[in-house]
Amino acid sequence: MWTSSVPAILLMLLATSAGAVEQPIPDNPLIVIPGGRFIYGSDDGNANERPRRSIEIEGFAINRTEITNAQYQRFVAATGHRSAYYGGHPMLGIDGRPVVGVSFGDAAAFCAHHGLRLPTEQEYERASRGTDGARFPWGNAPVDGSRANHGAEICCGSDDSDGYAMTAPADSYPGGASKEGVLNLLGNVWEWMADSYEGSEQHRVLRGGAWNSDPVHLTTTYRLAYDADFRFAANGGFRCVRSLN
Amino acid sequence: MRALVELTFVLALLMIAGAAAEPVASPDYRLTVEHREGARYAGIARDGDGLLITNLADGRLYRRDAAGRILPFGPVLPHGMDAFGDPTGPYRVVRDGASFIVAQGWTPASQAAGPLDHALLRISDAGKVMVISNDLWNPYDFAIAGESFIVVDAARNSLERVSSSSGARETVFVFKRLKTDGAALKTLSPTEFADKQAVEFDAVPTGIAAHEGRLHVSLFGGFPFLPGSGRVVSLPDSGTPTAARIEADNLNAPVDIAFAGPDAMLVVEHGTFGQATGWTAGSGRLLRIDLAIGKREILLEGLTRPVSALVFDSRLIVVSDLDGNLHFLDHR
Repeated sequence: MWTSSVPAILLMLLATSAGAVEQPIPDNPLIVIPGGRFIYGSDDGNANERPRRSIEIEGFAINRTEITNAQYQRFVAATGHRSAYYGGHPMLGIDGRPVVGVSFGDAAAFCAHHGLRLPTEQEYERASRGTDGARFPWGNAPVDGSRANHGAEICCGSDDSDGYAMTAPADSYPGGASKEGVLNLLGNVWEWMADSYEGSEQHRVLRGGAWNSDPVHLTTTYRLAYDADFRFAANGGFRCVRSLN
Repeated sequence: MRALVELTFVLALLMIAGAAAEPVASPDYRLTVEHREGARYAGIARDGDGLLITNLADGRLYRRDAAGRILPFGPVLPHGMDAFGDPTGPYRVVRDGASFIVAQGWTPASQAAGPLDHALLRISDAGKVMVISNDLWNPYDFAIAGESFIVVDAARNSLERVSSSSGARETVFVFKRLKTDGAALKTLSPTEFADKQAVEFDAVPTGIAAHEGRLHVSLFGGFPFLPGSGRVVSLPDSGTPTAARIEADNLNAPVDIAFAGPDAMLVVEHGTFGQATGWTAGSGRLLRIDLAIGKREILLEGLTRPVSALVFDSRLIVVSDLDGNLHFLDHR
């Protein structure tokens, strides 16, 4: 069969502002985020977000969207890795929706399979806040239902005023894109980071809030730490990055 | 069921993972297990010398006769997975005179809502269906109370009185959320729970049993399904009660209640939940709790996904599970 000559992981090259970047996930391109100084942390949030400071970061490329069920299922089929916990769920398991119900290890394995890795917290904040420490990916205008899939005002119920009671398609909310065009860095699903939490390897950080997040949690600086083995979150997903160097 | 913590979980009652050992009965009982491949048994009730059984896998009601033959009867009722990934369909069935009363769960996620969803149904011997009320959210169990039914609504977290004749519904009681020490969850999330004095979670009513003038209700502790967070409470079976009395606590996800004597309450524990592994296979149990002195005895353990218990007579107890098993406990 002719298909036997097609590699399992199709590599594509797309021109970007920083040059050619390999695209290991064809339907989820990597967007280049240039290196340089940016504002990290916040003096307004919890103690573990402080202080707000300027730091240097290397350039990297990040998936345009959260990893979807279809993308994760292809990884499962290719590797025999366990399925996402909600992979068969009638609402959460839809192909174009972000995959949820994955542990930190599941997410890291997916990224590694594609020659990628999970983002660091610094990379997440640079991607979602730009260089000047904006409150949100689109700037400082408040969250609304046209920009992000958010939750109810009071923690932690769902809200469908944004069009979705639970997860939204990974390529939705173009009005909430970052300056570089990365989608849903705020809301939709929490995203696993590479970082451990306060030195505990058992606890990993998630960022960005989700479809059930209230305004307290729906910020670009809130740090949610969970047991790395926890794979039952209906609002916990991820995306991958690659270093440019 | 509403999420009360930031990282939320949507599978509620009936999913489980892992491999289980064989169930083990108390030495006082002889255990026989009947298995039907592909079945998801839920409600069980006595019907003369036989059993009535609901099967969530095909939305059918079954009658098991004294010889052990199991045959379907009545219509195919809505069934499938609900929006939370749990099986839904005919949760319970009881004979009421010449007809059968069925607690039909909420709408399967893949289907359009119909009049038979989230409803209390009356089904004639000939299979004709009448909707008593579908003004319910997720009727999980019910008790017959004179001319009314007391329905457990496992989505409203309430008891609802439904008139047998008119179908009118009134809320009898709403269960308040339960609390636990936040420190117990610190290992799950240091940012969500470490500094909290108490964490609230839903008190989801599941089974109900009318006994000696009171309604006994099992409360399934909602996410994160901490060990021992379930309980059984009771309320007067008439009027509009203002408070529930705790009959038993420190239970692991209780889903049904039955009585084997004046103070002998049987409780089906769905099992224990591991934050990394989910519901633990083989962790379900049937307990007998002496309400007079508080003594607990394990009648059957090693169950996976048990749902209902029936005291058939003074010698026989039957327990159903979602793996298509009927467990018969014969007193020696």
